[in-house]
Amino acid sequence: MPSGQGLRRGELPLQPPRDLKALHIGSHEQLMRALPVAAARVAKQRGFSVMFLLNPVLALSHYGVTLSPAMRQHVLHTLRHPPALRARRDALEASLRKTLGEPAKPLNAAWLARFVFVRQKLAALATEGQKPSYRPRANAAMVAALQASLPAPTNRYSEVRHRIGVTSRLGLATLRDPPGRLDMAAPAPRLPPSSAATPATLSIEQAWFYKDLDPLVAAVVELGTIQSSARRFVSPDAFRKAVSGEKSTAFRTWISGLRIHHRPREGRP
Amino acid sequence: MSRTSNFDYCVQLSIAAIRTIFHLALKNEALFPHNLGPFTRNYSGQQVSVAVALLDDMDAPADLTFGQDNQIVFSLPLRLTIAVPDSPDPSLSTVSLAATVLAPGALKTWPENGEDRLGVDFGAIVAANVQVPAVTGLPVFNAQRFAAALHAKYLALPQHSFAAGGGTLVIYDGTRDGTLSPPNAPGNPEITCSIVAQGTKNWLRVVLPIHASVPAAVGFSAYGTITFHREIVPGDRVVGVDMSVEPPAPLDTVVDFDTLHPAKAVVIANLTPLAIGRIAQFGLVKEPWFTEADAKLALAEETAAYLSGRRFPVYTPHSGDPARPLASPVGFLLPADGVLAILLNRFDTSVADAAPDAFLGSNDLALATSRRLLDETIANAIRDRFPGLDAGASEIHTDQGDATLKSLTVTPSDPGTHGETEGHLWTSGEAEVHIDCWPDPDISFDGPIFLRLLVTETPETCDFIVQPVMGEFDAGQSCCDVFVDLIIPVVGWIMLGVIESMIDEVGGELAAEFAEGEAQQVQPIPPVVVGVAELQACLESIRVSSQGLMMPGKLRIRREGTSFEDLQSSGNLPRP
Repeated sequence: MPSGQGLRRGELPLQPPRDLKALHIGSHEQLMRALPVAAARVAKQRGFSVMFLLNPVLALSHYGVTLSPAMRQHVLHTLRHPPALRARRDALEASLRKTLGEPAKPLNAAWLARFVFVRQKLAALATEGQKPSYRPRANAAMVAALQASLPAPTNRYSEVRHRIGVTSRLGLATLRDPPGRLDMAAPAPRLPPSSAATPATLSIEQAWFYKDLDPLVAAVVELGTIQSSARRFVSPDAFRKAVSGEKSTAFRTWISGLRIHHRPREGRP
Repeated sequence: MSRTSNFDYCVQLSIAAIRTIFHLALKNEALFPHNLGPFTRNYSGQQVSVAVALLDDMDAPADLTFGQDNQIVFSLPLRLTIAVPDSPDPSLSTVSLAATVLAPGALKTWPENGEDRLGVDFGAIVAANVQVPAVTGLPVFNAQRFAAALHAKYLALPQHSFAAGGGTLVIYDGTRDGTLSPPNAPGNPEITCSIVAQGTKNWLRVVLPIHASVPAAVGFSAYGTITFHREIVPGDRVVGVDMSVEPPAPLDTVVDFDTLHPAKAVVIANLTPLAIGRIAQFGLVKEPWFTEADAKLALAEETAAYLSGRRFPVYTPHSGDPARPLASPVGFLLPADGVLAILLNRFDTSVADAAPDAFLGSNDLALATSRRLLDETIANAIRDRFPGLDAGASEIHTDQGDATLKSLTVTPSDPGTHGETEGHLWTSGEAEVHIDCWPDPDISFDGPIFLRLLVTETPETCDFIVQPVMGEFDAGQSCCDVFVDLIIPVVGWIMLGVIESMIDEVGGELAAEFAEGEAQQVQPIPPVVVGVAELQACLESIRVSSQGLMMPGKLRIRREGTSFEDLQSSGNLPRP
């Protein structure tokens, strides 16, 4: 909620939790044991809890729970993807590193161009103006249901001559297709070779058109889609600016608080 | 008070738009014939002919203003032409009265061809309802008009030469009778008239050229005149002069001759009674005559007769499906704001229909939905799209993870609330986000969703695209997918549904032309006023407030039927 000073929630400085005894965590087991304490601290001083969404490691440290470097890496890596996607990412990264002899960098456009055109020796395709296939939006079924619930067309005045000659269309702004939702199962169209010079850079969307020509390219493109969908956590500097209200963020604007449960919910792992 | 009162929808039109529709209605000869009559009217027992002409042009424009009690006051330039048919010279005995009359018409709804139409009904208007501020063309006593009447009467007389007592009397009027002997005196004098006021009465003084020949009176033969007075008697809308009523002295009839003949006095004495008898042959001379009060009353009467039973439509929604009739439009005038408010879909019958607040501003057109309907629509959509929410939990599954939505509310909110200067949909709720290997956090969220209308206008199109915008969110902060991928699109689709329903329910048109499933051709309001005008509404923005949704726009109006421009564009203008 906005403050009485005319500032919105995200523009107000957050008061970090105070008077907390430091807990140092060096392992997953220690973290699990510390969670009840952390959850209680969050519940008691909930105003700062939104910062978990910006960077859970830095937020935990403000609640007096300090993680070792290895545990910081573990937590951030764990939270970037749902388990299935994380497992697939880990598997792809490992197999590609083994095959390529280096880490795959599908989100690096120059690396991706070298990989497709130089290492895999694929000819550049005329991809200009082509759009890759995306997986149905997460909300596709819901949107379809909402669309179906719109009033039926009436065509009430088809007999009117409409001599004013101005037509109106009403619609909903096209929603963006976020990266990371390329449809790896959809076949790529067969495109002619490009008449232009081989490009020095290649986006993950452009690389999608080559996936059916080379299984290794398909693996790299899939890895890129997973990597691009990873949750992003802010840097310490951005975290500090968000806490102070110096830089407003959607999370601070929209999220009024989190409540952490110290044990998995019923029916969940 | 609210934007929609006890109804779900309100369409507001500016007085300028209503004026345009009215002018187009006036061009429809079937609705408003421009020339009526002539009718026969009885004024003081005198049959007169009355023709009515309704004007609406640059020199005499019709107009209207919004009055109280749902009355529209029309300014109608009217011209009455009154003539006495049996007048000696109707062309000279015609009065043309002109006035811009003020006549009230009631804003009403009536059924026609199975549809309800909202418009203006003059109903059983009577003269007392009509105001006539000023009149032009009032007649004045004019001796020339009477002279002209007498010229005509003279021609109508069977003879102009009379024998009596061994003599002959000849009466002249210029050269109108060239057979007379002797002919008229040098200079061919005519009958002349003048008006003489005496006391409270006006008298017509007439000089009639004559010649008398009496051989027995020492060969008397001379030109002369008969000078006589007759009272001008004003009646109800007619003025009369009875030539048979001789007044007493000193206005009695005088005969004189241009001679010094010794028998002159004797001849005059004998001729005067004969002259009075001949004067009586001119009979009764009548002219249309109106005092200002008479003229105003006549104009009011003819206006009422003209308008009684007439009506013209203003808003004519057409269902097109007998199985699904549209609600009857209910109109209210908001005179202080120059707004016609049209309410549809009464949701509360326990209260009397009441005028809504004006929300049109400086626009031609604006549509609004009630807060009640908006809340109901949002609640239903959320319940349908997030089943289980009523019981406390609705599962959401996305590529990026799963969540349990525990509550979700969307509240239309005013500018100035929640720290936002713009009206918005305040969206709040609670979700449990499932993160394996991490205790699922409950997230409480709230924030503004703004609705924008992206308008693209060309000479041929006016497209409006609804864009829901989440306050403070941008693509770089997209990891909160539950919001970006679910809440915003869902709210956007709900709002699109609200707007489409509004268009549908107010009698607009949803055409079946979809563009990639996300746009369709529409007519925001009924695109035609039956028999009068074609309309095209272009919505220009969307405003959210605690009262609901409001969409202002502009209106193009043109005449229904073939216009000069139509004929010109098709090359079918009339040729000489």
